[in-house]
Amino acid sequence: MSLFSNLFQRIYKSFGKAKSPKSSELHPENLVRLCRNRADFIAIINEAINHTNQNWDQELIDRVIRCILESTGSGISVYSSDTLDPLDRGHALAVLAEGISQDNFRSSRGSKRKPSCTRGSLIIPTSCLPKTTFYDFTPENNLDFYPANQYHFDLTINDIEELAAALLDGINQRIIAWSILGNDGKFVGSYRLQAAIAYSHCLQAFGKLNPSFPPSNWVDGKTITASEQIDTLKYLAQTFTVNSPNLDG
Amino acid sequence: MDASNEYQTFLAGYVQGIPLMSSRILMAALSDAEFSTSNGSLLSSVSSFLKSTDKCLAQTAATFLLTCGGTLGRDFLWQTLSTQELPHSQLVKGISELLS
Repeated sequence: MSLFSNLFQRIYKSFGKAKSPKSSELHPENLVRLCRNRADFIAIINEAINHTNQNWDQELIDRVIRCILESTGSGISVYSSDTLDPLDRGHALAVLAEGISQDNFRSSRGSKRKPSCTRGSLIIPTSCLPKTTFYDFTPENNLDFYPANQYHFDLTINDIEELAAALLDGINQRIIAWSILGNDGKFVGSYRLQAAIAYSHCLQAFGKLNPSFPPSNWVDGKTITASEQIDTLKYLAQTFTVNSPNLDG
Repeated sequence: MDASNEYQTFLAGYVQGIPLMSSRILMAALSDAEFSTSNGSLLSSVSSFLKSTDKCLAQTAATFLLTCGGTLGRDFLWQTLSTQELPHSQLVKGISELLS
């Protein structure tokens, strides 16, 4: 029975690798954007939800451009998510894909290895985007976390101020969702929880995840090998705290 | 992230002596790094920024108190809110609601 099950799983995966992008992949419902400066992100969210005037201050627009859109006109990374829920696997894969390349997550850091970091995230319905902003499905531009490749998009922004104002409108009207991530116990949204959701998804998609023997269909990243990706994912999800001894390795 | 009590007391004076922009960046960086403190001098020093007319500075100070200061930081925030007129009291309350 187990043999048949494995066979079916392999056939399914081989079809999965060869398939064309689905319609939902080309036309996502929502796009996730990560922000590294959490304190600045918190202030932006706070001002947006407490705003009562018709127009946005130019100073706040400028901060959104600098902190969330990285002052760039195009090519910023976003990831698709089926729902506005921060516990959606699309959101979790986005969080991991954005942060996994950090050096301080590597096992080579020894006792200084970090188990978490701080982030803010926006989950933006694509219907909120102004007509001057376009998204393209670009799995090849996702650098270092292979499971998120099929979720990766690039934004082309032709009017960055218009997009910043649209984001503030969406946050103000509670159409755009957000999350604030940090260490376990400090915030509702913990970085570890996101890693655990991503790990659970990867377990289902790839089978057993052993850094010493990465699944053959898990491809190396631009700077991080498949083995390191899996090791980091397991460390961030802290799988060792729930593993029974026969699952180690 | 932790630091000695002596260093944190030094930091309390240091954040008051540097330009306001630098104070804001330092508090934001410490908050992002999940610095943890229960040093009364440092929390008192940071809570003085809640009175600032600069809305970014006031919100960053509130974020620092709530993310780095634990229960004592929260007490400093609420004491300042309840006893003083703050130029951006609505935004400071907003941060408190957002992080509660």
